[in-house]
Amino acid sequence: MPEKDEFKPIKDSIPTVKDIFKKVVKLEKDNLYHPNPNLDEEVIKIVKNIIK
Amino acid sequence: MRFIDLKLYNFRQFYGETPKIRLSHGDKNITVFHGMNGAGKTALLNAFTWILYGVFSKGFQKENELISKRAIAEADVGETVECYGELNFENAGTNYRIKKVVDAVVADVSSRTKERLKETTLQAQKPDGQWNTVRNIDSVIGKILPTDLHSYFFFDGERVEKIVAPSAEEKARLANAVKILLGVEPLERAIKHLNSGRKHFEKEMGRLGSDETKEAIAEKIKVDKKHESLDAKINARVKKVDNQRDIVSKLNERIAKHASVEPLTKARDDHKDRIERSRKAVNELTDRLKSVISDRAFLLHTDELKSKVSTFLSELKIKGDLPSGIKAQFVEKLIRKGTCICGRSLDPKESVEAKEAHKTVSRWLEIKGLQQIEDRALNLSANINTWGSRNKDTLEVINDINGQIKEFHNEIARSSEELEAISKKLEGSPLEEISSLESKRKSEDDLLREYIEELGSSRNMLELLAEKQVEISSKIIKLTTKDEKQKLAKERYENVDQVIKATKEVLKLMNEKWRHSLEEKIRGNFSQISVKDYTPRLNKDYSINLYDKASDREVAAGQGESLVLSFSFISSIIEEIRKLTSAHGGIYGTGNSEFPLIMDSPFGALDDINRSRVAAKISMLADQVITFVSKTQWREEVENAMQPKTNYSYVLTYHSPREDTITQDIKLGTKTYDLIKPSINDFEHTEIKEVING
Repeated sequence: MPEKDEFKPIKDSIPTVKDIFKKVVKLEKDNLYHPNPNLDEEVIKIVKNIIK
Repeated sequence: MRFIDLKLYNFRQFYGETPKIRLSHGDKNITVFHGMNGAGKTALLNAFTWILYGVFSKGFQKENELISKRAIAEADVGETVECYGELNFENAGTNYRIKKVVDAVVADVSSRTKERLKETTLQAQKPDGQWNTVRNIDSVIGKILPTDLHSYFFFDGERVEKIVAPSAEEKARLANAVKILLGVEPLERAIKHLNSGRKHFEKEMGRLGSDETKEAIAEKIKVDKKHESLDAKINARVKKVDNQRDIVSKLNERIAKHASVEPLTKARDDHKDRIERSRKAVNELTDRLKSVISDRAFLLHTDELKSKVSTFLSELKIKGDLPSGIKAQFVEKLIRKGTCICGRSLDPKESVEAKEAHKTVSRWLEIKGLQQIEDRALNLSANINTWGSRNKDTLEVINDINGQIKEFHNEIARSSEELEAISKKLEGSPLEEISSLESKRKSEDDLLREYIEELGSSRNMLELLAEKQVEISSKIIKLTTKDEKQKLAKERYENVDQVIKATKEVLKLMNEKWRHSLEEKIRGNFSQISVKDYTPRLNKDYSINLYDKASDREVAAGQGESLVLSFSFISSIIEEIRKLTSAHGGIYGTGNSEFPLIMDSPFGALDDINRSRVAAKISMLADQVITFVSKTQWREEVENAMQPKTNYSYVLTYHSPREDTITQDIKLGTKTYDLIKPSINDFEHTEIKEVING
């Protein structure tokens, strides 16, 4: 049986959803070691930049 | 994470500065420290955990007295004496140096003021060779090698952690640590921040939208708040249940220690086991029942439909809209032959009657899709005729499952009654201790049940609230608007909502896939080392239970099995992380694909067979293995298995202040090294010597 692809829910999504996911996860990874109190605003900014 | 070298100064027995202790990696990845009891093997293991995490293993005593006694004694009154540990390591291509220093002021000749942590520094080397100071030391180290998993990477074989039956607190820490290693933290954080983003766009829609939108959003905010507060309550209740479970389990253990009630406690374990298995069977059967009902139960309500369809098909046949089961090929054959089955001629040239008959029969073939319609009608008729028997089968299956469920419920009721009777007997025990312990256990067990019920009803409520959230969200999304700004806010809201849903689904799938794969690996690794026919099962909270393969019953793991399980667990985690990192380096975790394993007395609790098997597999357990062994543990089979994979090895020469010291040595390769020798002064200390051509 082929292995279940855990990223299928994202792969099956529309391009803007994929784009938001990639950018937000990268933001979280970049800030994993450094506490950043502005991540809520950063996420909103990402969404606004993608959906104009 | 790969350790490069370690240096200690005035740390416990290690008076003065040790040489730089280089640590093996690569093909020959084992480092061995040979030492007698008391020479400092456990101190060395704890030097690693102290430098990295500031913690010590359970067997490490007087953890507030790290500075060498000899260093204190040799210092003047009022003088400050230091002790430090420095560790160089590499992780994901970056070199790190961590140093921890404690100091104390000498109060008089033989005592010191309380030791204090002077500093911990972590530096990372930039590509140009410069060293930069790193802040958030705990966070950085915790992400590389989670603090909560440290007892698996650095462990004392003589006091191996009970991973088979961890406490509630240990379970939570274990699950959290595994989550960090799995690298799902960025996804969890993403959900948290996306939720805030969704709320922001929700508010924006509310501000800009119609009255209907405003109303829906106000309702959504209300439900969200309820969900959030209930979720927090559930988390607290889970902890409460786990703690209560620990209390009951400890009371059970205390009662079981009394040999006089052994038959009763054993019977109690048996009945509990039966109840557990019956409950599991009931859950599985209920799932099966649900699946049968959803797949086939519609058949039980199709009697009326069946007769309607049969009548309809018959009417079609009577009207001539459907040939009565006459196949197209058969009609073609009749035309070719030129004679109908009734004997009339079908040759159009023969007569007017024959021409008419030929026309009628040929018309059957002209109907578009005749073949398919005919086939479907025949199939439908045939299917409808089997509904009756399938109805009977479905009813039989449902009745059979319900019967089995009933039987298991009876079994649960019988065992519960037995448990009640056992409890009464224990409460009536002439031994006051047993009687009072049982009364306490009973009331704590009642409390546990109460907590579990509370938790269950809260979870049901949470599910209802989650359904309500989804319902309002789709209502909001469906609301139409002409205002451009509101449209934009809605589109953003909708996208964020979808990202959250998809990310949650990814997390769920990752967890399921990883846990399943990890369990398979643990089983494989365990069976390669252990001779016993047991199989480990990994629970949802990442704790492990051991089962006897033949009887499928849970067994208590002895110290030897616990040790083998520990090895299997940690080496399986390491293998899985490596697999994940190479498959999904971009999304998963820490970028850490190398792991060390530091083991004090790994062979202590093992019997001869397990010892040989562990020794043979030890270099494969992790990328880097550092192990501390006594002379008696360094047996021929262990040496033969480990020596070819050992790069650096060291001898801890213990200088004993005792007058009756008996010297001891060890022959490694062609040379003999001192293990114990008399101290030239009144203080103990240990020297570390590298074994040459060992």
